[in-house]
Amino acid sequence: MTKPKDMEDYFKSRQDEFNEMPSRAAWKKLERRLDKRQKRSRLSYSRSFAMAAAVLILVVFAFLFSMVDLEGDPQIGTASIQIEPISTQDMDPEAYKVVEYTLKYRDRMSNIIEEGPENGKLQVRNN
Amino acid sequence: MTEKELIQACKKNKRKAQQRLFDTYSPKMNGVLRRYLRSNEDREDVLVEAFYKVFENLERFRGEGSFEGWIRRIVVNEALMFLRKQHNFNMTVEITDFDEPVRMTVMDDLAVKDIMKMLNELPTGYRTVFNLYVVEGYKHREIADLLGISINTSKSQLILAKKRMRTLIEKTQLINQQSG
Repeated sequence: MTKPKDMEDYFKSRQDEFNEMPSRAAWKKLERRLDKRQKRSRLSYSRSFAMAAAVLILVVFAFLFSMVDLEGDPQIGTASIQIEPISTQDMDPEAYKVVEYTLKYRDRMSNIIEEGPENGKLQVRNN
Repeated sequence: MTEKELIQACKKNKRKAQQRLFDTYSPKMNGVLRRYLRSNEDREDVLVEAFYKVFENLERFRGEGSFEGWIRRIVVNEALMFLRKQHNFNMTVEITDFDEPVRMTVMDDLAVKDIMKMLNELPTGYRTVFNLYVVEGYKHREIADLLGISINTSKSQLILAKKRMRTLIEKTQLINQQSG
Protein backbone atom coordinates (compact mmCIF):
# COMPACT_ATOMS: atom_id res chain seq x y z
CA MET A 1 0.00 0.00 0.00
CA THR A 2 1.29 3.46 -0.85
CA LYS A 3 1.80 6.08 1.83
CA PRO A 4 0.82 9.75 1.69
CA LYS A 5 3.78 12.01 1.00
CA ASP A 6 4.40 15.71 1.46
CA MET A 7 3.95 17.58 -1.79
CA GLU A 8 7.55 18.88 -1.66
CA ASP A 9 8.88 15.31 -1.32
CA TYR A 10 6.64 14.07 -4.11
CA PHE A 11 8.14 16.61 -6.54
CA LYS A 12 11.69 15.95 -5.36
CA SER A 13 11.48 12.18 -5.69
CA ARG A 14 9.70 12.18 -9.03
CA GLN A 15 11.15 15.22 -10.77
CA ASP A 16 12.73 13.13 -13.53
CA GLU A 17 9.29 11.89 -14.52
CA PHE A 18 8.43 15.42 -15.57
CA ASN A 19 11.26 15.38 -18.15
CA GLU A 20 10.17 15.72 -21.75
CA MET A 21 12.28 15.87 -24.91
CA PRO A 22 11.81 19.19 -26.69
CA SER A 23 10.93 19.16 -30.37
CA ARG A 24 13.73 18.91 -32.96
CA ALA A 25 12.78 22.39 -34.11
CA ALA A 26 14.00 23.79 -30.76
CA TRP A 27 17.65 22.87 -31.45
CA LYS A 28 17.40 24.15 -35.04
CA LYS A 29 16.08 27.50 -33.76
CA LEU A 30 18.84 27.72 -31.18
CA GLU A 31 21.48 26.80 -33.75
CA ARG A 32 20.31 29.61 -36.05
CA ARG A 33 20.60 32.11 -33.19
CA LEU A 34 24.06 30.86 -32.28
CA ASP A 35 25.15 31.16 -35.95
CA LYS A 36 23.96 34.77 -36.00
CA ARG A 37 25.81 35.54 -32.77
CA GLN A 38 29.02 34.02 -34.12
CA LYS A 39 28.74 36.05 -37.34
CA ARG A 40 28.10 39.21 -35.31
CA SER A 41 31.08 38.63 -33.05
CA ARG A 42 33.34 37.92 -36.05
CA LEU A 43 32.07 41.11 -37.69
CA SER A 44 32.61 43.19 -34.56
CA TYR A 45 36.13 41.71 -34.20
CA SER A 46 37.06 42.69 -37.76
CA ARG A 47 35.36 46.06 -37.27
CA SER A 48 37.40 46.82 -34.15
CA PHE A 49 40.54 45.65 -35.95
CA ALA A 50 39.77 47.99 -38.86
CA MET A 51 39.10 50.88 -36.45
CA ALA A 52 42.37 50.29 -34.60
CA ALA A 53 44.24 50.16 -37.92
CA ALA A 54 42.59 53.40 -39.08
CA VAL A 55 43.55 55.17 -35.84
CA LEU A 56 47.13 53.90 -36.16
CA ILE A 57 47.37 55.15 -39.77
CA LEU A 58 46.01 58.54 -38.69
CA VAL A 59 48.55 58.81 -35.90
CA VAL A 60 51.41 57.88 -38.26
CA PHE A 61 50.22 60.43 -40.85
CA ALA A 62 49.85 63.14 -38.25
CA PHE A 63 53.36 62.45 -36.99
CA LEU A 64 54.87 62.47 -40.50
CA PHE A 65 52.98 65.63 -41.38
CA SER A 66 54.25 67.42 -38.27
CA MET A 67 57.83 66.37 -39.10
CA VAL A 68 57.56 67.83 -42.61
CA ASP A 69 56.06 71.03 -41.25
CA LEU A 70 58.86 71.44 -38.70
CA GLU A 71 61.51 71.04 -41.37
CA GLY A 72 59.78 73.58 -43.64
CA ASP A 73 59.35 76.25 -40.99
CA PRO A 74 62.21 76.30 -38.48
CA GLN A 75 60.42 78.79 -36.23
CA ILE A 76 57.79 76.29 -35.23
CA GLY A 77 58.83 74.37 -32.20
CA THR A 78 61.42 76.91 -31.03
CA ALA A 79 61.05 79.47 -28.30
CA SER A 80 61.82 82.50 -30.43
CA ILE A 81 58.51 84.08 -31.26
CA GLN A 82 58.62 87.10 -33.52
CA ILE A 83 56.30 89.87 -32.47
CA GLU A 84 55.29 92.03 -35.38
CA PRO A 85 55.62 95.79 -34.93
CA ILE A 86 52.17 97.13 -34.52
CA SER A 87 50.51 100.41 -35.24
CA THR A 88 49.06 102.26 -32.30
CA GLN A 89 46.21 103.58 -34.36
CA ASP A 90 42.83 101.83 -34.12
CA MET A 91 44.02 100.04 -31.01
CA ASP A 92 42.63 99.68 -27.54
CA PRO A 93 45.12 101.57 -25.28
CA GLU A 94 45.00 98.79 -22.64
CA ALA A 95 45.85 96.14 -25.18
CA TYR A 96 48.68 98.29 -26.46
CA LYS A 97 50.13 98.49 -22.92
CA VAL A 98 50.15 94.69 -22.73
CA VAL A 99 51.95 94.41 -26.06
CA GLU A 100 54.46 97.08 -25.02
CA TYR A 101 55.14 95.28 -21.73
CA THR A 102 55.60 91.99 -23.53
CA LEU A 103 58.08 93.53 -25.96
CA LYS A 104 60.00 95.15 -23.13
CA TYR A 105 60.31 92.09 -20.92
CA ARG A 106 60.26 89.34 -23.53
CA ASP A 107 63.86 88.43 -22.88
CA ARG A 108 62.98 87.68 -19.30
CA MET A 109 60.04 85.52 -20.37
CA SER A 110 62.30 82.57 -21.12
CA ASN A 111 64.10 81.05 -18.14
CA ILE A 112 62.51 83.48 -15.74
CA ILE A 113 63.56 81.40 -12.76
CA GLU A 114 66.73 79.36 -12.53
CA GLU A 115 67.92 76.99 -9.91
CA GLY A 116 69.97 78.63 -7.14
CA PRO A 117 72.42 77.07 -4.71
CA GLU A 118 71.59 73.85 -2.84
CA ASN A 119 69.08 74.39 0.00
CA GLY A 120 68.56 77.88 -1.33
CA LYS A 121 65.52 79.59 -2.69
CA LEU A 122 64.72 79.77 -6.37
CA GLN A 123 65.90 83.10 -7.68
CA VAL A 124 65.09 85.38 -10.56
CA ARG A 125 67.82 85.52 -13.15
CA ASN A 126 69.12 88.99 -13.89
CA ASN A 127 69.86 89.40 -17.57
CA MET B 1 33.78 13.92 -22.10
CA THR B 2 33.39 15.28 -18.57
CA GLU B 3 31.05 18.16 -17.69
CA LYS B 4 34.05 20.48 -17.31
CA GLU B 5 35.41 19.52 -20.73
CA LEU B 6 31.97 19.96 -22.27
CA ILE B 7 31.70 23.47 -20.79
CA GLN B 8 35.19 24.38 -22.05
CA ALA B 9 34.32 23.19 -25.56
CA CYS B 10 31.06 25.17 -25.50
CA LYS B 11 32.99 28.30 -24.45
CA LYS B 12 35.05 27.85 -27.62
CA ASN B 13 31.80 27.78 -29.62
CA LYS B 14 32.23 24.15 -30.68
CA ARG B 15 28.85 23.43 -32.21
CA LYS B 16 28.87 19.68 -31.48
CA ALA B 17 29.58 20.36 -27.81
CA GLN B 18 26.79 22.95 -27.69
CA GLN B 19 24.37 20.43 -29.18
CA ARG B 20 25.51 17.80 -26.69
CA LEU B 21 24.94 20.19 -23.80
CA PHE B 22 21.47 21.01 -25.14
CA ASP B 23 20.63 17.31 -25.61
CA THR B 24 21.80 16.52 -22.07
CA TYR B 25 19.93 19.22 -20.18
CA SER B 26 16.99 20.24 -22.37
CA PRO B 27 14.64 17.33 -21.45
CA LYS B 28 14.95 18.18 -17.76
CA MET B 29 14.60 21.92 -18.38
CA ASN B 30 11.61 21.31 -20.64
CA GLY B 31 10.14 19.35 -17.74
CA VAL B 32 10.66 22.37 -15.48
CA LEU B 33 8.97 24.60 -18.06
CA ARG B 34 5.99 22.23 -18.36
CA ARG B 35 5.03 23.22 -14.83
CA TYR B 36 5.11 26.95 -15.63
CA LEU B 37 3.82 27.25 -19.19
CA ARG B 38 0.81 25.52 -20.67
CA SER B 39 1.44 26.05 -24.37
CA ASN B 40 4.01 23.97 -26.27
CA GLU B 41 4.95 26.92 -28.49
CA ASP B 42 5.62 29.21 -25.51
CA ARG B 43 7.68 26.48 -23.88
CA GLU B 44 9.80 26.02 -26.97
CA ASP B 45 10.42 29.76 -27.34
CA VAL B 46 11.41 30.12 -23.68
CA LEU B 47 13.62 27.03 -23.80
CA VAL B 48 15.50 28.34 -26.86
CA GLU B 49 15.93 31.78 -25.31
CA ALA B 50 17.10 30.29 -22.01
CA PHE B 51 19.72 28.03 -23.65
CA TYR B 52 20.89 30.92 -25.82
CA LYS B 53 21.51 32.83 -22.58
CA VAL B 54 23.26 29.80 -21.10
CA PHE B 55 25.77 29.82 -23.99
CA GLU B 56 26.06 33.60 -23.95
CA ASN B 57 26.84 33.69 -20.21
CA LEU B 58 28.93 30.54 -19.95
CA GLU B 59 32.02 32.60 -19.08
CA ARG B 60 30.24 33.69 -15.90
CA PHE B 61 29.81 30.14 -14.62
CA ARG B 62 32.74 29.73 -12.24
CA GLY B 63 32.19 26.02 -11.63
CA GLU B 64 31.69 26.47 -7.89
CA GLY B 65 28.10 25.19 -7.73
CA SER B 66 26.00 22.73 -9.68
CA PHE B 67 25.96 23.39 -13.42
CA GLU B 68 22.47 21.93 -13.73
CA GLY B 69 21.27 24.22 -10.94
CA TRP B 70 22.78 27.22 -12.75
CA ILE B 71 20.99 26.31 -16.00
CA ARG B 72 17.77 25.70 -14.08
CA ARG B 73 17.88 29.19 -12.55
CA ILE B 74 18.30 30.72 -16.01
CA VAL B 75 15.39 28.65 -17.34
CA VAL B 76 13.07 29.53 -14.44
CA ASN B 77 14.06 33.19 -14.69
CA GLU B 78 13.31 33.20 -18.41
CA ALA B 79 9.90 31.58 -17.80
CA LEU B 80 9.10 34.23 -15.18
CA MET B 81 10.12 37.04 -17.52
CA PHE B 82 7.85 35.58 -20.18
CA LEU B 83 4.94 35.25 -17.73
CA ARG B 84 5.42 38.76 -16.35
CA LYS B 85 4.99 40.17 -19.86
CA GLN B 86 1.67 38.38 -20.24
CA HIS B 87 0.22 38.30 -16.76
CA ASN B 88 -0.30 40.80 -13.98
CA PHE B 89 0.61 38.94 -10.81
CA ASN B 90 -0.79 41.71 -8.65
CA MET B 91 -4.34 41.08 -9.83
CA THR B 92 -5.30 38.71 -7.04
CA VAL B 93 -7.42 38.41 -3.94
CA GLU B 94 -5.30 39.03 -0.86
CA ILE B 95 -6.14 37.10 2.26
CA THR B 96 -5.18 38.23 5.72
CA ASP B 97 -5.50 34.99 7.68
CA PHE B 98 -2.20 33.17 7.20
CA ASP B 99 -2.54 31.19 10.44
CA GLU B 100 -4.06 28.04 9.02
CA PRO B 101 -1.19 26.03 7.59
CA VAL B 102 -2.17 24.16 4.49
CA ARG B 103 -0.32 20.87 4.70
CA MET B 104 -0.42 19.01 1.46
CA THR B 105 0.02 15.31 1.18
CA VAL B 106 -0.29 13.25 -1.90
CA MET B 107 -0.40 9.49 -2.42
CA ASP B 108 2.91 8.33 -3.80
CA ASP B 109 1.24 6.39 -6.58
CA LEU B 110 -0.46 9.47 -7.98
CA ALA B 111 0.74 9.71 -11.57
CA VAL B 112 2.81 12.67 -12.72
CA LYS B 113 0.41 13.18 -15.61
CA ASP B 114 -2.43 13.66 -13.08
CA ILE B 115 -0.38 16.24 -11.16
CA MET B 116 0.42 18.02 -14.43
CA LYS B 117 -3.26 18.11 -15.28
CA MET B 118 -4.04 19.67 -11.88
CA LEU B 119 -1.26 22.25 -12.22
CA ASN B 120 -2.63 23.26 -15.60
CA GLU B 121 -6.03 23.84 -14.02
CA LEU B 122 -4.59 26.41 -11.59
CA PRO B 123 -4.71 30.10 -12.55
CA THR B 124 -1.31 31.46 -13.69
CA GLY B 125 -0.62 33.35 -10.44
CA TYR B 126 -1.39 30.37 -8.20
CA ARG B 127 0.59 27.97 -10.38
CA THR B 128 3.65 30.20 -10.57
CA VAL B 129 3.87 30.87 -6.83
CA PHE B 130 3.14 27.20 -6.08
CA ASN B 131 5.99 26.10 -8.38
CA LEU B 132 8.43 28.63 -6.97
CA TYR B 133 7.67 27.87 -3.32
CA VAL B 134 6.87 24.16 -3.24
CA VAL B 135 9.05 22.83 -6.05
CA GLU B 136 11.95 25.28 -6.38
CA GLY B 137 12.11 26.10 -2.67
CA TYR B 138 12.13 29.91 -2.91
CA LYS B 139 11.09 32.03 0.09
CA HIS B 140 8.16 34.46 -0.10
CA ARG B 141 10.54 37.45 -0.07
CA GLU B 142 12.39 36.04 -3.08
CA ILE B 143 9.16 35.24 -4.91
CA ALA B 144 7.94 38.79 -4.24
CA ASP B 145 11.13 40.16 -5.84
CA LEU B 146 11.00 37.78 -8.79
CA LEU B 147 7.37 38.53 -9.64
CA GLY B 148 7.24 42.18 -8.58
CA ILE B 149 4.53 41.55 -5.98
CA SER B 150 4.22 42.04 -2.22
CA ILE B 151 5.10 39.31 0.25
CA ASN B 152 1.43 39.17 1.32
CA THR B 153 0.36 38.61 -2.28
CA SER B 154 2.84 35.76 -2.57
CA LYS B 155 1.55 34.20 0.68
CA SER B 156 -2.08 34.63 -0.42
CA GLN B 157 -1.43 33.03 -3.80
CA LEU B 158 0.30 30.07 -2.18
CA ILE B 159 -2.49 29.40 0.32
CA LEU B 160 -5.14 29.63 -2.37
CA ALA B 161 -3.09 27.44 -4.72
CA LYS B 162 -2.58 24.79 -2.04
CA LYS B 163 -6.28 24.76 -1.18
CA ARG B 164 -7.20 24.36 -4.83
CA MET B 165 -4.59 21.64 -5.33
CA ARG B 166 -5.79 19.77 -2.24
CA THR B 167 -9.34 19.70 -3.59
CA LEU B 168 -8.13 18.53 -7.00
CA ILE B 169 -5.91 15.81 -5.47
CA GLU B 170 -8.74 14.50 -3.28
CA LYS B 171 -11.04 14.41 -6.27
CA THR B 172 -8.49 12.60 -8.45
CA GLN B 173 -7.58 10.09 -5.72
CA LEU B 174 -11.25 9.34 -5.16
CA ILE B 175 -11.73 8.68 -8.89
CA ASN B 176 -8.60 6.48 -8.93
CA GLN B 177 -9.86 4.46 -5.90
CA GLN B 178 -13.27 3.94 -7.47
CA SER B 179 -11.82 2.86 -10.79
CA GLY B 180 -9.05 0.74 -9.19
